[in-house]
Amino acid sequence: MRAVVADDIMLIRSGVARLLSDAGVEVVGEAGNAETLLRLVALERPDVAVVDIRMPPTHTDEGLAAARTIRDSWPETSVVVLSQYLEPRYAQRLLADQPGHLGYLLKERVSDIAVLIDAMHRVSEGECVLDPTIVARLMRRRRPASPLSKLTAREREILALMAEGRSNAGIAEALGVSERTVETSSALIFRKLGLEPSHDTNRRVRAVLTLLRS
Amino acid sequence: MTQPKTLAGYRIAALMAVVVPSITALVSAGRWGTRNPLTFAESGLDPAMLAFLLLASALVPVAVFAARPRTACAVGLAIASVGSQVPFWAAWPGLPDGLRSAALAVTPLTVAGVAAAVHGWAPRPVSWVLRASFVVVALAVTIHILAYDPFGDPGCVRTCGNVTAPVEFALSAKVAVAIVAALTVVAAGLAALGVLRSGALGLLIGAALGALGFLSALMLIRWVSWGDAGIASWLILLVPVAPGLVAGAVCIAAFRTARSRRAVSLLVHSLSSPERSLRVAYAVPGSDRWVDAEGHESSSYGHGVVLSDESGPVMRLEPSRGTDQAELLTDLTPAAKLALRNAQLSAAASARLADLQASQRRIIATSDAERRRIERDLHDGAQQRLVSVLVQLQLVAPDVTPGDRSILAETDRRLRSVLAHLRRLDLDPFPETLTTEGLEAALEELIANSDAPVELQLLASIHSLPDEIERAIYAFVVAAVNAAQRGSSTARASLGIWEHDGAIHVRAQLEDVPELSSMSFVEAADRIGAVGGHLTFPPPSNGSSSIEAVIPCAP
Repeated sequence: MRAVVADDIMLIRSGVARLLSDAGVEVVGEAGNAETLLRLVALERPDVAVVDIRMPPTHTDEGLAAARTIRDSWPETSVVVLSQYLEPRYAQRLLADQPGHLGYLLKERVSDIAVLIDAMHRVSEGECVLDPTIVARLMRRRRPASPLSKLTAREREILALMAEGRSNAGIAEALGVSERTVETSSALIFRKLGLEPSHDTNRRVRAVLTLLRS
Repeated sequence: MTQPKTLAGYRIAALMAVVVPSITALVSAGRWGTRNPLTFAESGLDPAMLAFLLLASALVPVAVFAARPRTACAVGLAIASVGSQVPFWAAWPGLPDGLRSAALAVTPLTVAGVAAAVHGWAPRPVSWVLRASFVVVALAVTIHILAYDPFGDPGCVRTCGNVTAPVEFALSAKVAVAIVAALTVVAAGLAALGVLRSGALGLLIGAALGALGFLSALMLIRWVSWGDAGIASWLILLVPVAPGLVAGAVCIAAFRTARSRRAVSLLVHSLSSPERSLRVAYAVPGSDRWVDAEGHESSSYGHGVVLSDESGPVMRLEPSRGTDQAELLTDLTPAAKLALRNAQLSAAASARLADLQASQRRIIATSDAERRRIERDLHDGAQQRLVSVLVQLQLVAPDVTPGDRSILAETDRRLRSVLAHLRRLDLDPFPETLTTEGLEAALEELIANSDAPVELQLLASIHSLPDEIERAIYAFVVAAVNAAQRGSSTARASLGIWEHDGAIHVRAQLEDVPELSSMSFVEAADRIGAVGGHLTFPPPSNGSSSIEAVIPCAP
């Protein structure tokens, strides 16, 4: 897998790049700002771009804008956005239209390199990955009109894990149930959320989208 | 107590001022045969002369009416009217001769009347001078009555100049007339002195001096032209010019005063929308500032009348140019002064309130900026560094001996817990959404993230509100949502935002939130107060509360 890393702090940038290289990811470039990042992506066409949301000059959401540009201009490049703090609205803005091939993780996940690499794999496969903390916040909402209210507690748990980008096997392992059970539950969740049968990845993404929009 | 008496005096004066010229008009218009020493009595007055006389005489009752609350002025005018009109009655043969000559004698009264009229309007009447001139005038009238009776020998006044009189033995008529003329001039001089020192309006003083000088001149001419009945007649005809002059001045002064009084009373009645011809600035006690009725700083025209009381300046009236400022405040009643003082206090209170709100806004803005700075420092500084330390730890992890792995793992765990703690620190009370996407989006986000069900009914347009108002509303909703989240498991909140009468109303209806304290709305209340609004927090009943904020906002 080929990747670029964008972060304005050199220590983090090079550290992450080294951790990724050590784990077998080919880091084809490092960028300290959005402009360099977009140039690198255009040049190298990596599979994944790992982008910090805060970058110069305003240190607010430059990474977010860059992520959208990348998804619009180079669809073969997936993006994992890293955020220092939780701003569900950012996640919503980033993922609202096309959540596939996008991830939104907390910044500190960069040190859990396995988690980061897992997320990178998932987004490059077209899935949508949300940080568990964000998912937890989204799931906490109690809004009567939301289709999520039709889900049982167990189904909500499965949806949350799905939003974190876990596969059925991963979900089954996390919940200590059989993969078959997870599959059945997923089908039920999709039906309750009114998602027509289609490609599994697509449905999973749309389920996460429902969660985001609720 | 003196009111009825004063009113009666005024009524008598008004009656005299109307009746006397009316009789005069009747007398002057008639022809009364040939036995008259007054030449106009033989031919009647020609219409032009009659009209002039009527005009000059008619001014007096008008002036009496215009000078209305001033009885002394009205009485003076009435006396001047008697002094100038009654001599005409001598032409009427129907009267006894004695009365006719007495009628001729009253001319000097005009002098005293003119002086009294002006004194009646003056702020510092010089009473002794006025009294002295009345005494001199009375003396002159008495001497005239006693020593001069042209109707005893009607032919003689034109030819011999030596007619019989009650005191013929002592004074010849010519000498009597000379004495009367001299006394009248003395009375006029005294009156002029009094008028000059009375502090009356310049216009009135000028008119009075002119009238007194004119009367003196007439009396001197009468003395000099003794024996010429034609001239004597003309002199009588011209006397009404003097009271006419003063009456005209009184009318003008009364008109001007009425105008400024109207402006002042308009001001008193509707201080919120003062006349355009009269700008008002109020003094802020204890400072050099001047503010308008709303408490905004007021710049000066550079002229104006300052009304002060024992506590210092109260207000400054700034009339348009060309207004006699001295007259502006002459008519202020104690009630009006009280109203103006009241208006000053309310304007000063508004100014102080505005100052306080401005300082409250500054404090809030400073504290917001400080919180944002600290939070930015945390996110961009401390958190980033901790993350980079985490990354560095990961980099060295493969080289750590198995014995030290547990230390590394513990360090990693602690670092993560610090990061999680820092992330949860919510220093900036406002999300970036508020600045980037506006209040509506920020409220939606806030409600979407709420653990308790919150309903929002948005009936007002809350786009393009000033930042401070947006923040105040947001802080209020945050307080309501937090209260609902802290309530029981069935707690819920319904929020309504609507506009009414130029103000934004925000109401939070909280259900199943027992032990709700007003303290949870303190920050919201501070922010709402700083933008001139207020928050009502009725005591909760049965776990439900209805808190409402009203924030004025200019459309």
